[in-house]
Amino acid sequence: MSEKSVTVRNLTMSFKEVQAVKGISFEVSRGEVFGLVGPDGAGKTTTMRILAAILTPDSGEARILGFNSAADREKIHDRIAYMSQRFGLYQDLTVEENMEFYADMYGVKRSELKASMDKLLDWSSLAPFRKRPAGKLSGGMKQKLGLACALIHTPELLLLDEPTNGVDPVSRKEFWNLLYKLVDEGLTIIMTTAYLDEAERCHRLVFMDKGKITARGTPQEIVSLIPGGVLKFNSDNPFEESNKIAESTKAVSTVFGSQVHVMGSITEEDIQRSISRPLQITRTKGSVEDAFVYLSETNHA
Amino acid sequence: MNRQRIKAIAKKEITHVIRDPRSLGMGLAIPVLLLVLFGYGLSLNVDNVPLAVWDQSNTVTSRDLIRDFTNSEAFQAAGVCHSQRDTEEIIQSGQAIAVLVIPPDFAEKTARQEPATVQLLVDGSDSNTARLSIMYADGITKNAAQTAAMSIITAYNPAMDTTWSIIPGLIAIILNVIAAMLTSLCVAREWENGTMEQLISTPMRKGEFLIGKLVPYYIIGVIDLIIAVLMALFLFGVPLNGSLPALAGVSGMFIFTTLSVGILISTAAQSQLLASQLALVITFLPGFILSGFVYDIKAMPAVVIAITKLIPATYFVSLLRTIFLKGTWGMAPTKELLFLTLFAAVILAMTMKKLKLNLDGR
Repeated sequence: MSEKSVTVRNLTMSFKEVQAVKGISFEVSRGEVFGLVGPDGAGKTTTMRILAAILTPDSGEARILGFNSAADREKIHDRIAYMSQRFGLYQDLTVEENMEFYADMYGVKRSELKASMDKLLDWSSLAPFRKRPAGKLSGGMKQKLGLACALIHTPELLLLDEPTNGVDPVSRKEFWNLLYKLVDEGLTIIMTTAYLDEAERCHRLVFMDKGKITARGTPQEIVSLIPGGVLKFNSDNPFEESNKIAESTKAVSTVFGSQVHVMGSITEEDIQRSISRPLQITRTKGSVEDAFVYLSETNHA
Repeated sequence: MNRQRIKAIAKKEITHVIRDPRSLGMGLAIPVLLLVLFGYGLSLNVDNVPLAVWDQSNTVTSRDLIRDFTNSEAFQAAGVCHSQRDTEEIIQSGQAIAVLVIPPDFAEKTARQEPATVQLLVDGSDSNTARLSIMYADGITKNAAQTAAMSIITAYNPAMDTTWSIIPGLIAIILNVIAAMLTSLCVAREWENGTMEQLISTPMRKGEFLIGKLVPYYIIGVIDLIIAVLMALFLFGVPLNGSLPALAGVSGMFIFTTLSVGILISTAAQSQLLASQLALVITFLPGFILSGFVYDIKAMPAVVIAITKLIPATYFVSLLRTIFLKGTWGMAPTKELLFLTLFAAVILAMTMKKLKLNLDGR
C-alpha cells in the first residue's frame, strides 16, 4: 500500500467543445484534508467525479487508494464515500431511512447498523430528527445527513463536492469541526470549495482556474505567493478607487468590504500617487483569498 | 448480485410510491376508473339498426328469417325494396343502414338442406356499426340455419355482448399503461433529483439496480390485475371459461414484458416528462388502437397488421379473450407466450446495454 491516498497524473477531460480539465496532476497523502479550490467552471466538480470513479477521463490517470479510477470502479466504490453537490438524499425518506438505505447499498451488516447509526446521529446532532423526511430538513441539516450517509460504511477516503455550498456560516463551522474529528480518526478527505475562507482550513490545497492548477501548497505557502504581501487602506468609495489604481498601475487591486487590497510590484507611494487624498496604508502578509485574487488576475493577463 | 442491495432499492422504491399520492393514484385508482369508464362507456353494442328487406323468395321460410332479424334487438324494419336500385337508394338516403337480400331459391335450397346464402348490404361509412351489424346478422342466420337442421356451430360470446370482449381487452390495456407509465418514471426520477449521481458512486451493480426497481412495480401490476379480474367477473359478469392458472401465468408474463418496456424508456429518456410521454405514445396508443382491443386487426391493411404483430398487447388481448371467453388453451397461446418472453428478454438486454452507472457521455 502506498502512503499516497490519491495520485493524479496529467488528467484531461472535455465535454463537447469545452475542455473542463486541462492536464492536472496532484497527490494527496493519507490523513490529509485536501482542497480543490477555485471559481465556478474551474473544473473542480469534473475532477471530483473522476476521483469518485463515476466519470472516465479522456487521458491521464487517477489512482484512488491504489486502484485505477477508470478500470477498478467497483473496488474504489467499496472503499470510498462520495458526496455529490446535491447530497443525493431522498426527500421523501426520513433521516433514518436515508441512512439505512445507504448502509444497505454499502453492505453494512444489519447487526452493526444500529450502533453506527446511533453514533452518527449523535455525532451529527441529528438524533432528534430521526423520523423527519429529509426534504423537511434545513440546508445545514441536509448537509450533515449527507455526510452521515456517506460515513455509514466507514470509508477510507471521503470526497466532498462543494459540501458547504449554500449553507449558513454557523452550520459551516459545525461541519468543519465534524470533518476535523474524522481526520483525527484517520480519514482522508478531498473537498472542493469556492469559499476561500474554507481553503485556509485545508491542510493542503490546489487552486484551479479554467481547468488548470494555478497554485498549490499549504495555505501559508499559497499566501507567500503574493510578492511583497498586501497593501490595504480604508475607503468610502472602494470600488472607484480600486479601479483607479488598477488603471494607473500594473498592480492587482480588489475590494474587501470597505477596504481596498493592492498586490503586486507596487509601493505605498505608487498608490498614494493615483489616489488624490491622504491614505493610511498598511502592509500585511495577506490571506488565501488575497492570493486567490492575485493569482487569478495575473493568470488572466 | 447482492440481495441486501436489491432489497434496499425495492424497499425505497415502494416507499416512494406509497408516500406519493399521485403515484399511488396512478397505480391503483386509475385502473378501477378506467375499467368503470370503459366498461360502461365504451360498450360497442348497437341496437335497432334500420334494416330494409328485398325478399325475392317471398315464402314462409324467407319471412321466418326476416322476422328473426326484426324481432332481434339489433335490427328494426325500415322499409321494403323491390329492385337493386331500391336497395342503393334506401342506403344512400340513410333510411336504412343495412339491406337483407333473400334470393328467389332460398326456400327450395333450405328445404333440400343445401347451404342457402342471403346477402347483406351494409352502409360502410360507420365501419363499427357495419362490422357489428354483420356480426349480428351472422349470428341470426346461423340460428336460422339451425332450424333448417344444419350442423350447429356454437360461437363464443353468443350473447354478442361486446362488454364481454371489451373487458378482457381493457385489462390488457390497463396493465400496459400502468406498468409502463409507473416504471418509466423510476430511473428518470433518480437522474432528475440528482440521487443517481450518489447511487452510482456506491458499489451497486446494474442487475441489482434493475431488479430492485422492477420488483415493486411488478407487485403493483399484480394487484391491478387482481382488481381488474375481480371487477370483470363480479361487476361486469364476464365469464371466466378458461383456467385461473392460465390467466395468472399469461398475465404475469405480460406484466413483466410491459415493465421492461417502461424501464427501457426510463433509462433512455432521463427526464420524467419525456419518459411519461414516451410511455404513453409507445404503450398506450398502440395498445389501444393496434392491439385488436377496439378495432378488428383482420380489417387492417397488411402493413398495419405486420406492425400489430410486434406489439405485446396484441398477443395479450387475444390471449385474455381466449382464456375468458373461449376457455381453450390450444397450441396458439404457447406461441404467444413465447413471443412475450422473447420480447421481454430483448428489451431487458437493451436496457442493460443502455443503462450506464457512470456519467460518461452526459
